[in-house]
Amino acid sequence: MAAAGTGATDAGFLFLARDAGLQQAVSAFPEDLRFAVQTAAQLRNTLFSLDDATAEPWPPMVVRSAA
Amino acid sequence: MNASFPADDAARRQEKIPAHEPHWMTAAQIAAAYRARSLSPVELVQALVERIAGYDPQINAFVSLDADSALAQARLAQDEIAAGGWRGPLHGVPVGIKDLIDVAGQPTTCHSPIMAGHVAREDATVVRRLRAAGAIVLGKLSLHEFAIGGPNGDGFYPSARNPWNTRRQPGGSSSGSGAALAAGFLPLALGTDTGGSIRNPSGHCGVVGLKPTYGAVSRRGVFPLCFTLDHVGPMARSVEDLAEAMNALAGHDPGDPGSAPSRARDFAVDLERGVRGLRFGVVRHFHETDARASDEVIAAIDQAAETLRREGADVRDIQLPPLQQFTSAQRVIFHAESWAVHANWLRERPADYSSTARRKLMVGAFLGAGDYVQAQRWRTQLIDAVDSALRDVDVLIVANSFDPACEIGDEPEFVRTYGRHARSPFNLTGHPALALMCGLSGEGLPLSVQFVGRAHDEVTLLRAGAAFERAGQWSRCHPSLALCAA
Repeated sequence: MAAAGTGATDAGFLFLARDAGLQQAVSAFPEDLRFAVQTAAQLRNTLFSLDDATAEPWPPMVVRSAA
Repeated sequence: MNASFPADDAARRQEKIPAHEPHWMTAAQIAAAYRARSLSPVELVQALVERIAGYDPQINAFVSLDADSALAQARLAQDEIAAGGWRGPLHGVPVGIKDLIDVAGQPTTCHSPIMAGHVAREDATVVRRLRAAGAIVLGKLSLHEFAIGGPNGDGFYPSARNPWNTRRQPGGSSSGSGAALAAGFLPLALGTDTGGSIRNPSGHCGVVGLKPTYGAVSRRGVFPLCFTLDHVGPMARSVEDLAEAMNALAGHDPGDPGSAPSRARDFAVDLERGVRGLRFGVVRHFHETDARASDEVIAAIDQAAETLRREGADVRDIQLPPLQQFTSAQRVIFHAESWAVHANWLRERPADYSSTARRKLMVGAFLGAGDYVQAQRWRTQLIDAVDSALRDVDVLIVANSFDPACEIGDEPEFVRTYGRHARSPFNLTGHPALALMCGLSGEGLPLSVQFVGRAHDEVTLLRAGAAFERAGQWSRCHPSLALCAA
């Protein structure tokens, strides 16, 4: 994954964007892509680590009965 | 500053509208007027269509208004009611539909050129249920592009504006729903809420909005933003109307894989019970220390807590995990799922999105699978934390927006303030959340509070909301469109 602050001309950034199939956006909207990459990096950094390595993700959303 | 009662300037901006003016009637008042034969559905629809024609060019609440169809539905309702076939409190009541919800035979634009040419073949379940209750579909309402964009200059459709001050943004993404209610264009609207999109415009427009429990209201026929965060719910000018809308909307739908098993309930059953005996927990750290809301918002929430105490409630502070834990997990899931929905269009037609939507929707391309799983693991723990708090109290009191609505063209202020809120935690956890007006800022803009309840206990939430509404009387405040347009 790209590091925070990756520029639109960096090879790593371009690889990620093209790998995601966003070639058109690389050409036409590099600033929007830079914003998206930076936001993703910031978000990953705000995720807290879990002390419990066995903590379950399942179910991803609880649909609880109202019956 | 006076957040609890209208300041003099703010008071001059309000109209204390007599209830007999049909455009300010609630759905319950309309139903009473129909039964008393002092108003007919055709008269009401004609009055609303005229009002929309006069004022919506300044507000942009409607994407499309189907006046002919609405009048035909009104004539049918009028005949049915006259013949003794009253279907219930929503019979003959006009409703507006956020334009990412399908209405048969009409375009679903999602406020985006991406959807050009898309015409819905059938009604979404929520529209079908409103029609079965006798409601009149008046038109499709404006939104932020795909419920994720924002008010912007490069959007395909004009952005809705706030009737309290048309230079201000109305909140979003159900921006047209909030604006139409505040402008007196209709008494009831549908919104959707993935990170707060019912409660944000409800708050900024001074109306009420309910994000129901996840799974309580069907999403079938509603264009998705994030599968595990999306909720559909009602917006109105009174809590009673929300309850009656829920009576029509709620219930299991086998066509929605996220729909909860349910039994028939009367959501209005406890509206008159008051709050004596109810326990409220103020989640003060969300808006005072985890992030700092504006002084006016903090004062308004304190005043709301005091109002509930005065009405006989037990009100105390309560602790949840830090706000950032909720918002980080919610945002990772939000971006990952919305990217999954939009990836193909972003690859092939990026120029057809507004810049705001494009930027937000591409974030998920750069998150990893592990990030998504990690956020889901957090989610299960945060759901448990809210459930635990709601064993100690019946209702949580939580800030809505941390700031009053900013100017629509002030991009830096929009970016600074739009994410400052405490709404998305309850999209993450699925608990029901009700937005209520609780004051006016010094500039005469609505301030709002959220009540949050136990999963599938909307009845208690609406009971609390109705009592607060009676005590606060904020629902009787309306913007003066003539002043706002000046």
